[in-house]
Amino acid sequence: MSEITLNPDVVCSPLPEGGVLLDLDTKQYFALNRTGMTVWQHLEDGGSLAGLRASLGEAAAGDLDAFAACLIGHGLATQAPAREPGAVPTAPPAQGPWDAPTVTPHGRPLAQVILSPFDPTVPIPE
Amino acid sequence: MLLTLPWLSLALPDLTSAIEEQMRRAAAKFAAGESRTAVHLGGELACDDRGAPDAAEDVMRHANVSFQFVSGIETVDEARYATRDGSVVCVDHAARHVSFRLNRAVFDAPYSTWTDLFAAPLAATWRHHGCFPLHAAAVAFDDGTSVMVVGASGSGKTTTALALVTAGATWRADDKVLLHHAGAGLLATSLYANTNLAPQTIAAHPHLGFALARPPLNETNEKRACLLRELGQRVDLSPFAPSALLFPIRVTRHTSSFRPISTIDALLRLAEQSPTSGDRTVMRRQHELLVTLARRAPAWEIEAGSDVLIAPGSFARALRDAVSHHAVSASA
Repeated sequence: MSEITLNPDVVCSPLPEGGVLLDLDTKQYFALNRTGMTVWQHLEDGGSLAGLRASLGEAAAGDLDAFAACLIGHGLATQAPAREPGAVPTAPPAQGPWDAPTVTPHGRPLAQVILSPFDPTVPIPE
Repeated sequence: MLLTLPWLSLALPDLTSAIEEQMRRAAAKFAAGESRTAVHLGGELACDDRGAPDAAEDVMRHANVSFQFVSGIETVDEARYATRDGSVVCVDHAARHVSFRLNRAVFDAPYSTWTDLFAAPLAATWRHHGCFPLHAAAVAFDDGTSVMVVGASGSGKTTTALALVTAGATWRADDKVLLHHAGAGLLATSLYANTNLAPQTIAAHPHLGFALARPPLNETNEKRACLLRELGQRVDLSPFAPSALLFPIRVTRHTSSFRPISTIDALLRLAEQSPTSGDRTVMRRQHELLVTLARRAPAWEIEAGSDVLIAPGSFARALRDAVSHHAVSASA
């Protein structure tokens, strides 16, 4: 896995236990663990996977690749070409023990699970 | 009656066109055989003793639906249609048009499949003004803690809230609230002044026996309509700041249990009970509001056992003890 580009239609919100992603296209929520949140924010701030690999070492490289593949698989990111070495920003230093980053889809997309009095069969004019 | 909430008056200009558009769409879909909405609407209108179901259906079929806001109130069934400020909705079959006979607070729709035609455009209008519906009941304890009980139909929202009210809490809302930003925080406002009780819930509360004499909502729903003030002496439907979240799940054992859940879990459960929008800007604002609520209010999952019905007092005490120590203060 080289680099990835985050889907601009995904909203990320940090929360105490990690964070959530909301895909505005699919109306699907995803939960991120703390490491996943850190990685996402690093990429959102212009960081790179290469920078993270360099900072975290080989032990984390496999986890990062798996996480990136998961993001791509869920439509939360797309594959991107590797950056020139000089353009690779420095990754934040690793803190504490390494937990593999995870992203977990939550149930079904919102549009399919809401059975609310305010969710009529007739489309809402908006 | 004057509107007392500034954010409600914001929605007035575009509400009319939203309802008109919704009615046009509903009528067209029904005429094309793509929707049974009008049939449902006709069924609901049967409770209006001035017309027959097929009359309403006929109105919808010909798409000659018009509506007007008029002054004055004609009560059809207060327990069933009462809204927060006492407005009601009627249909004028003789004139072959739907008349929303409302007082000034046109935002309080009655509970029924009217939501297809009335509350849906209201919800759309609200959302564009930053107010988002949430499927929840709410009560307040004497210490100022306002807990919202959030969940799908049948999850036990009303039963849980009723147990707490029976033990002395104050009704703040049942079934539907509007969430909206207020400064750095948020407020919740009850939409309705009534609720619908399942027969087993009524049976567990002897003082509510009067409700069993009322007709069921319809052929497939045995619930009975009641005014909140009939279910408890203390009712306060003014806007409030939620300080704790409860997500009930029914279980078959006797004793209920409470489990704190993560902010992420609470947010995802909130999102499931707040209908989403097709408009990305609106969806983003809704998400941000729910994040604010999830961050602010600690949350618990309630495995609601039979003690909710059999021993509401002890259930309420255990729940209040669990929640009150951790809930954010009302003034936070």
